[in-house]
Amino acid sequence: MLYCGKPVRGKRYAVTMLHKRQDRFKRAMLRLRPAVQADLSLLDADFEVSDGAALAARAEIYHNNILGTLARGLADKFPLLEALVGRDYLMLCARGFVIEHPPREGCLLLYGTGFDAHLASMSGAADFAYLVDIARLEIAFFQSAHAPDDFPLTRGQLAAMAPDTLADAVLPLRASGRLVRSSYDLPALVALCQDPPKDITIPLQERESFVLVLRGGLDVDSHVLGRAEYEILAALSGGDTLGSALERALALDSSFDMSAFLERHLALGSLCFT
Amino acid sequence: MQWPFPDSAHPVGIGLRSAHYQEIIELKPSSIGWLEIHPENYFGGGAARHYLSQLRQLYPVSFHCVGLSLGSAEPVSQNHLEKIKELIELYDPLCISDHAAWSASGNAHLNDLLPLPYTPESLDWLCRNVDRTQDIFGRVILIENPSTYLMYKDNVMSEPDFMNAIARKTGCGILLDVNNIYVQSHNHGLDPYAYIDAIDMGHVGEIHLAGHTRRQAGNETLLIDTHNRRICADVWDLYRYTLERSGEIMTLIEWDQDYPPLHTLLDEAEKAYAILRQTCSREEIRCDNAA
Repeated sequence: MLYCGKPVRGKRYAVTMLHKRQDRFKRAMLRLRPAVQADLSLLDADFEVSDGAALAARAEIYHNNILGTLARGLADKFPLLEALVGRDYLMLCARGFVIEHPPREGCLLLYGTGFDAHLASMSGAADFAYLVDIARLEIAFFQSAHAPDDFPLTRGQLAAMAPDTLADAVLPLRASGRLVRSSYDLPALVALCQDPPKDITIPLQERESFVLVLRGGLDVDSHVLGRAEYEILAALSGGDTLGSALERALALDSSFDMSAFLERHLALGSLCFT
Repeated sequence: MQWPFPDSAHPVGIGLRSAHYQEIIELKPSSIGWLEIHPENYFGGGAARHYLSQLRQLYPVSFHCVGLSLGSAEPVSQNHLEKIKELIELYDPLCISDHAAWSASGNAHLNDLLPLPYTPESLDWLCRNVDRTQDIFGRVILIENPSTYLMYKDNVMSEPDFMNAIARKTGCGILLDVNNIYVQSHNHGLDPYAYIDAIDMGHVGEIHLAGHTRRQAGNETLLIDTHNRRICADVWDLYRYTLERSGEIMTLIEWDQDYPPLHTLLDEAEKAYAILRQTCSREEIRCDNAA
């Protein structure tokens, strides 16, 4: 018998020979190149090849396909980072991410969520904290692009609410809305990425910034927010009522203008009606 | 068994990629009868769903899944199945397919179509996963023969026999990728014509055609299933040979990397259609719906 266990529907699946083989193959693939060469013994007993060199060459095709495709797909989601660090360094980071955090599902649209934390954990990253914030912004972009479709709060829906119920209204952020907060001037950094200066020095300064990333129509855009505006949106996206969210905004800025806030976010289509 | 080939439909389709959304909507090319999508690219909302909804008004679509990992020694992800089911209800695909391969092991999905040993154990796992998928979708699916670069030592059946057995045991159909047969035969010293002869054509519901790349691997030259160039003359010959045995079968032109201009894909589709017309009379159309 070639296998040692039979899976039973509805019960815990036995660890079969096929399971062990697939696990060995996975472990041989999720390593950087030299490790794959060294780990061929994992595969040697399984495959029909003329010699060890043929096994290495053929296994390398899978290794390149898996690591290369995943890392390239990941790197392609971070064009701003690429402008700052270059393709080679970004690919190095991406390969490391793939090995440490391979996809867990067969849909890759959101794969790369967590790349910011991976960058932050890399040695020397503390000197380049702004890169982590740029990564967060780009993650917000692709998450927003693939968020479920929904409908924005309309002026009519807002007008139909009785004034005395407004404070208790729950008006969450649209499914495609993402809030990004940075210790750096993100809009300036983005402009720098899109139109790099000839001078290689980057005029980087710590200046806190707040951004809303939102898919209004088909395209995803970013919108610069004020501090209190960010706080009220963060509170609303966390499920707070309008009244409670407003209190948080007023605690930061006693002159916060709720009418202007609603006017702006009705126009942007940032909120939805529940 | 009922295959989805509609009597009135043009039998040749192309793979839909975002680079061609607008052009297909504007041109509505008549040289293709349907579009194939990878449903995993449409799990989210936004632009992809918007364009797919428009294109679905113009053409039937088929779903060619790449993420079910039917050959894994573990059950198919329920979440993945449910998301595809949602798309089936929205877009009513002509047919649904995935591969005789695995991608997922434990906590990792490797995003490649990896080889299976052709053993009773693999067949058992694959059939259980196909059964479950068909139960949830409420439809039969097609399973595609793979292209591989490694072959297991302890295979106890040939690849065509393995494919026939999946279809026989689960009632699914076979998506016969003729380029994969060519690649597989080169890489493992098989006879591609004997491979086609060994496939039970009664199970075949769709054909895939694609280009491949020749690459040096150590002392060998291997063919890599890259889907990034035109279909080679040998594969066209194999396609003709297949149709002579099968009768007319809906055929897809695949192109997944280094996308060409749309007219290149349409040109390949017209070539496939010409071969279909030369090889099969209309009466021979493989459409068991009419049977």
